[in-house]
Amino acid sequence: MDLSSHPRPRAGTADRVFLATSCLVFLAAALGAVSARDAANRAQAAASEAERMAAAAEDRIRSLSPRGPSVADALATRVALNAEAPLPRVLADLTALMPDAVRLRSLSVEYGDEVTLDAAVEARTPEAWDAFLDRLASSRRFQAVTPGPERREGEIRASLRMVYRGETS
Amino acid sequence: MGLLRPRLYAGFDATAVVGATLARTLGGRRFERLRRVPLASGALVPSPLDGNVRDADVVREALQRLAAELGTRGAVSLVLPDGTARAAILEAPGDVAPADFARFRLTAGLPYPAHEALVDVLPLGGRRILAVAVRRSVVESYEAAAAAAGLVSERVELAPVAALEGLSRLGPASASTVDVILGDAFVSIAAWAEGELRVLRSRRREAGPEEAARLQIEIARTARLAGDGLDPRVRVAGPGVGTLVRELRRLGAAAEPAWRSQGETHPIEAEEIPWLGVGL
Repeated sequence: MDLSSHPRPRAGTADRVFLATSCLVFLAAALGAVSARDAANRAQAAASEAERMAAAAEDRIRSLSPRGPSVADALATRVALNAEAPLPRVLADLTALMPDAVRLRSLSVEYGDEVTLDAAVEARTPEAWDAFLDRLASSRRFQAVTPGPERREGEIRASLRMVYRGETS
Repeated sequence: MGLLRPRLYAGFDATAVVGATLARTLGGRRFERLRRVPLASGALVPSPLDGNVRDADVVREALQRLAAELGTRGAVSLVLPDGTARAAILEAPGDVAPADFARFRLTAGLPYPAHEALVDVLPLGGRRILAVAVRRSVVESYEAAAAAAGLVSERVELAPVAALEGLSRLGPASASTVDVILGDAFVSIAAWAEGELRVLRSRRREAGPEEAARLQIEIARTARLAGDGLDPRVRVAGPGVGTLVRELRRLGAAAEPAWRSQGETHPIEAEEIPWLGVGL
């Protein structure tokens, strides 16, 4: 990690030797490629025929295999999640865990394979913030709780990312 | 056998400047020389908002003394103390450069304009990254102190992240591991589960007789957020590690120093320097 105000690429002696060697290897490879091109052309005709046969075999295998999740399936999952975890319920469950000295500043909800929340939270005291984190960790409705940056000058402002499981989990 | 010239590190914190030379050999990396030069109270104040070097002369003299005692000059890696940056564990989408995503996510919550933020990331495996943002003026205050002492800053790192880099190479001590990385003014607590870094939190340090008890609660809370709060192994590094490990053990925690010196005696214990993790 480099947090310099003017980060600069470092090219030492070892880097320069490595670069020169790489150039030589590239040149040798290019010459080899030119001489191999004719052979490749001849092989290409044979490869095309083999590819055609392989594609036919894959089509056959696909027709015999069970189908994976389709776009329609994924969409259906999202619709189901939206029905099981509508925004008012998610919001109610989250705010129910908040101590009086904690308030929600913003919330974004992402309905994907699961319901993921990004919340910006403000707490008047460190104790209230800690209590909120404890309640979230104990809750079965919210899992994979990941606290983001915490700003602890005066009031605490912090972000949280979590997965909403609703009542079933 | 040394492959490259030793790299000089200078780590800053509220009470001292600590220097070390890192040798890179065929056998791996190891810190060879360690020195600590105390700072007068108030000369350096870790903060994410303002220039941290409050008494430039004191810090410059400390750096000059450090370089003289280590017998080296020139390029140096600066290590910023805990409390100067904002960090978060993120999962970058596959179609976005991790650094760009880190900037997008971190700068929204910063207490200063986004264009003043310097952002970098540490890959954690897969699409997961540890994103760090620090204010440009904060970094420049440290770079200016180094320049005034005749040192050329070749890179800037953050103490708790440097510690975590090393600890990640060591691997978690057990299924549930919590690392406590102490600074003079701030403390970072990192929780690992199933071999991956899950949670990283930083808060102001409140040293005193009750510190161990308070930190024990924070350790348990952080381990629970990582998904497993049952008796985590606790690794501790940074100033005051000896006392804190002793107190945590007395309170029933499975605590140990994150690392120890091997076979050599230094004027300062290796486990007292949190960023020595880069040499692991």
